Amino acid sequence: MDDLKIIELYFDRSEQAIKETDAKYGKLCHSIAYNILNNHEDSEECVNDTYIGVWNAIPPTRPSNFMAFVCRITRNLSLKRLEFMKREKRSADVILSLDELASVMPDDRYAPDVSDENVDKLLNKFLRAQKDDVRNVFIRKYYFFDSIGEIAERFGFTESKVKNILFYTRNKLRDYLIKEGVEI
Amino acid sequence: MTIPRFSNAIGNIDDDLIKAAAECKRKKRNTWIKWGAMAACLSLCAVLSIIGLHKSSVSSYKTYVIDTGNTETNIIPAEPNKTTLYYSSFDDFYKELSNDNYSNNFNECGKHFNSLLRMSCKNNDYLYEPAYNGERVELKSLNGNSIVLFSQEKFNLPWIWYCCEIDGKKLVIEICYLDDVDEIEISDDASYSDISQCLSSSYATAKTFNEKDRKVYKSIIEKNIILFDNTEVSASVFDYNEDNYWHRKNYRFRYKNILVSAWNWDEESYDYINDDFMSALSFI
Repeated sequence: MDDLKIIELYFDRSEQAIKETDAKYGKLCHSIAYNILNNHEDSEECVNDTYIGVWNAIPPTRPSNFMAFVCRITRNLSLKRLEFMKREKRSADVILSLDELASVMPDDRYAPDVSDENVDKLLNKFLRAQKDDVRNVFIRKYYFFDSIGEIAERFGFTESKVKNILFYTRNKLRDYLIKEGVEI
Repeated sequence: MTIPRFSNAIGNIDDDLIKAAAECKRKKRNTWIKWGAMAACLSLCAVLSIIGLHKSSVSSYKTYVIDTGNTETNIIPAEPNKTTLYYSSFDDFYKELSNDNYSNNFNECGKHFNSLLRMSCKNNDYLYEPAYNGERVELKSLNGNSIVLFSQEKFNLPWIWYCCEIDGKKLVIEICYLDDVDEIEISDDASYSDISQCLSSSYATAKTFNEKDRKVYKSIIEKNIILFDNTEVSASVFDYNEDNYWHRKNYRFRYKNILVSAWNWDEESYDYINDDFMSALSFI
């Protein structure tokens, strides 16, 4: 079903909206949650919470990009859940991914004067300036938390090439942030 | 771990970027090419063994079997546990290695990695340091990671990456130790290209440069270069296509018991990676 029609179902308060969302984006949501939580039961709960979140948000929100809207809610809920989980239960890939980028992105200690909005804008600008493949590899790794192997398979690259892209792009991002006046 | 702020930033990227990444199609590898190439290789091996040429053509190496179940066609199988370790400085790196218990943490990361850690731990001078004009290179400590140790990287072997800055140019110098690579017999005069071809049948070389390689590289040239310590080595010079992420030039050569790969870390350093640069490079 077309995204606009699904949104209309939410506006009509029809429970069919959730069924259609699940049919269209359930698998994607589950993969995002699973990449973060590394546990099917927790992921399933997060996906269900996502549907409740979407149900509560629409209306009044009318998302212009429904897929991104759903992904964003799943990701945020999964990360929140991750924070509450014991460290040993966390997915090692996610910890590594976050650590990798935490070291190039400013945090409150080092960049107290830089607003979150500013960092968001700079990151978006930086990503838009990258070539499609590079940008998508980066987002698959740090937004969707795909493993190196999954990314390599998706793009038809070797794992070594994916690592190179991520390594280079992280450093390029750091250089870019410094150039834009964000001291890391 | 600083989840909150980073997570906010990456979590707030624009919707169209998320959608594009979510929908990006899987690229299917052309299995005909892969299996065709494999069949061709096997046929060639069969012919060579029948006419007895293999003894002269691969006399430097032991007979080896290409693992056809492995898409990378590396002769060294991938270990189930891989790890990547980061260090901020030489001191930081050596401090970790000199810890007797350090290598025990990585027992399941493969015999080559274990061997590298053990040798480094036992012998302070085991590891080479890349040097420029005879002086140890200056590391470029971006995001705190100047030295990256992969338990498995190219050819499923451990590699150490030194991220450095020379004359304001950013470079990466990668080193792989061959001492415990007993899957092939490596003669003293085998070049990087010779060794690589034995380690991975899919490795691109100047001799085998084909249409598939052309998608990645503008050219691959074999040439002899002289390093700072007057050692002459046979180097493969890979000039990457600009659409392959960034204009990258890569010199790969074998120096004593190590494989070396040096490449520019940013587009600006592209011209810098040349024979002159190599003539100032050495390993101490």
